[in-house]
Amino acid sequence: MKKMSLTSLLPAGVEYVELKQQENRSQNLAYLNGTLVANSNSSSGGIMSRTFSGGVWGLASSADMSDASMQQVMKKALSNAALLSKSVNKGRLILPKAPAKGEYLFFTKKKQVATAEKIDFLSALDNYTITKYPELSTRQIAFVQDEMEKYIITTDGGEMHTMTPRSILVIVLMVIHNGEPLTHYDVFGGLGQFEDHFGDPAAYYPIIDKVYNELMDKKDAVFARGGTFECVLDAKLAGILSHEAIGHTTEADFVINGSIAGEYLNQPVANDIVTLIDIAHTWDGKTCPVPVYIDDEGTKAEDCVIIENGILKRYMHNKESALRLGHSLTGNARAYAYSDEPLIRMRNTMIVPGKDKLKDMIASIENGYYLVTSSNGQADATSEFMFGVGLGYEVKNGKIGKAIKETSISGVAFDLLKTVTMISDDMNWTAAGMCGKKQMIPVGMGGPAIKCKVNMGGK
Amino acid sequence: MDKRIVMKNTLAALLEKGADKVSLWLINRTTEEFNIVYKELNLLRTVESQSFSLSVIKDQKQASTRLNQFDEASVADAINEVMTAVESSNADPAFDISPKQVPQVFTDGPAQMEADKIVFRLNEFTKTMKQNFPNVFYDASLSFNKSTNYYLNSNGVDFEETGASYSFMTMFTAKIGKKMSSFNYTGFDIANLDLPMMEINSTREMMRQITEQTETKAIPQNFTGDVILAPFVSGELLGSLISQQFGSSGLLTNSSRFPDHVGQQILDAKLSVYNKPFDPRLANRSNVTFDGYIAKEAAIIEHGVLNHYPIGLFAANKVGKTRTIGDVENIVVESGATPLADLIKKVDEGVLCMRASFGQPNANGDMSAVLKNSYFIKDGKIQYPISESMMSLNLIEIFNTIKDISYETFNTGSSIFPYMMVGGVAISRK
Repeated sequence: MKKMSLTSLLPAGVEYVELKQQENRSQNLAYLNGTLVANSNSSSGGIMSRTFSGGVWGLASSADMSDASMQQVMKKALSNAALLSKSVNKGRLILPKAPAKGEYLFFTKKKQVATAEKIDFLSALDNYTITKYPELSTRQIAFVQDEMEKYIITTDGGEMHTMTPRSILVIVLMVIHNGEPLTHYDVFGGLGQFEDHFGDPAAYYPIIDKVYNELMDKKDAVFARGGTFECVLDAKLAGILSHEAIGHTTEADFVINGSIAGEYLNQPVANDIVTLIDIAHTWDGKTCPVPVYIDDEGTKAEDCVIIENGILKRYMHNKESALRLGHSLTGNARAYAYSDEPLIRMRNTMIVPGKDKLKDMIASIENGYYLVTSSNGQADATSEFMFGVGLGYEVKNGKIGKAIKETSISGVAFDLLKTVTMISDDMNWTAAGMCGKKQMIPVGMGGPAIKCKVNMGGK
Repeated sequence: MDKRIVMKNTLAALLEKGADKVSLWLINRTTEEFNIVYKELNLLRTVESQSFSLSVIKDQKQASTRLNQFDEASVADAINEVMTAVESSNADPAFDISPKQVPQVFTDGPAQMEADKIVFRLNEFTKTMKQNFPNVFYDASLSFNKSTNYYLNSNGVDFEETGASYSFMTMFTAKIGKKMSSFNYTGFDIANLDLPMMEINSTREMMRQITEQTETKAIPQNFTGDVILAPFVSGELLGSLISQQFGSSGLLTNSSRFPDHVGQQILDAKLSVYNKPFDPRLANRSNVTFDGYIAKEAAIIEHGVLNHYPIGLFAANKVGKTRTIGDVENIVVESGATPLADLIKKVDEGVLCMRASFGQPNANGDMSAVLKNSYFIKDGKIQYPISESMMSLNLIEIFNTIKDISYETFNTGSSIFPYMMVGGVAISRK
């Protein structure tokens, strides 16, 4: 993206204005049973101006990335705010600010490879899969790379230029067993471009073997029993629990709109071994899957400690929600496309690891389940959640038993967190998540394994 | 430069560079989106967007690229990029483009936005909410969307469709004291602003329901019974079934249980599902399919008999079938003659499911879902809103045991669905 000179265009004497130039780029390559069914690139760029005046917002955008176009867009944003002000005018309101300036560009430092080499990499994985496992009825090997480059400047002193890429490899295997299709998949990769994660296909052969072996476990799968059971949720499920069931209820726009978390600030909502944080960019000295140093309102991004030792401590904010609730900014305002307004979005939501070992946690279960992967998740303002379980196992007398058929788990998250009795000492990030809340946006989810009580869907 | 000239020049350049077949989509869209946030008008957002998709086939290899800049340099880069990419692909005889058809121009929907009327309808909505549903928290938006889509391919296909409509969406929850409901939402596309948003589809009834859903009770015990699926739910479940069993993904991944069943009775005879791209009741009609054909009115399933696989040209070629209707976007399910009130009277023990939270069903159709905003029914009467309950079912089985279909429907603007009463669903409490 050729950076515009936005500083000279920033207007003076207005309440608050953001100017943004953004380009989203993506590449999709996908093999389906040996045929390259997707070989595509896309890019979508443009400019946006958003202004806050009289307590309302005006926003305008265009794909035309020129100075003249930006002048028109700024004028239109102002007129949009003026139109709404005819119905709602609250006078001059001062939005809170914690501006920061910086450049955070995650281009690979390795030599970039051509599309043909990426296709060769996928082809090698596909060939390995079908050669070693010819009984598979379907195999899909796909690579997706997303890049989001933004240049934002605000009238209250924020300025940032970021390029945040994400590279994901998806492996889906299917076998027909007793006339029924059984599928299993896994996802790999994270922050960075292709070169940062992939290269030698042989490094991924053991991973294909693992996906295949887990698929074979499903051949003997039994129905889960419906009801409440002690379970160990592996890190991938704990991550989605953090994000969907707790995280969303503590986004301040949901709180203002009646979320149950609005009743619990500074109150115990979990066992005191539970600490849950929305990390801005760095955890344990390592860059998280979706690093945000400065948000889309030019605000310095901070870690938001949502639950600390079982107590609900904080909500996530953008400027408007912080103004309404009188809280400090957290740097959670994020937008997906050049034309989108920043919404309160999570970044990298995680439960802090504990002191337990996963094997001890499983060994402590008399009659329950070890739930390994989730297929999707949804949650509610009440913190009631539902997650699909793609892979799980029975646990009887502390031993892992048969795999269970795909099912769902549900519960009320703030109740579930009170049943957490063990937390493992390891940590795993899931980097492929896309969160939908008017706009889609990449998010990181992470955590250790947790032992808790869960409602199982089943027969 | 004129968009058509850009397309024609691009098509010629791609053929010049060695492409055997080329198809191009160019989309221009404007949106004016008025948002209510925290119960007040809060944001007016103007979006001008465009995209240009280039797809080429060379030596039966395929590649594509999409950009949103139309200057000469950007388009030239895209042409070079896609021609380089196609060399890296592998060949498959299934890749193809649509054959020559008579050029057509479609125009639909209002020509201009009525901005003052949008503000009036939203202010009216907030006023009604304040007067009648003061305990409901909500956001809402009403937008005007206008788009022109151009499709051109190297077989001489040249289509242009311009469409415009209004789009309403609201998400809401109720809170009385410390008791709160689950959230719910509704939304639809409409051709005009003649009616208040509260009086379209079931908006008012859903607001009434959300207020009483602050008080919920568990079902008395687990049971297997009837479920009346609200239109949003029946539509989502039917969409999953069609995609998994009859659509491109089901056939291409070999996961369909009905891979060769045209003309066979595979679902309940009460079920008829149509693609109706020219239905005047729909505000958002797709006249041209993604693979470059004029859309067709057709019964996908008629009285339970599968008439067509709704699959595009590549999928049809790949699985050895003739493409008939392509991918479909305007699904209309035939409504019944029974009012919803009478459906409820027919239920001995069951649930009125107004929303369900679920993920991708298993490949064999098994699935479970959390019942949201839903009601326990006993002896033909709604008893109370329920808490923390799940339903377990098989998609193929429930659409084979439809007990009745309602007279009332929900028109999303793109599709129309009725309530459906199905049997044999396992309902479990926490």
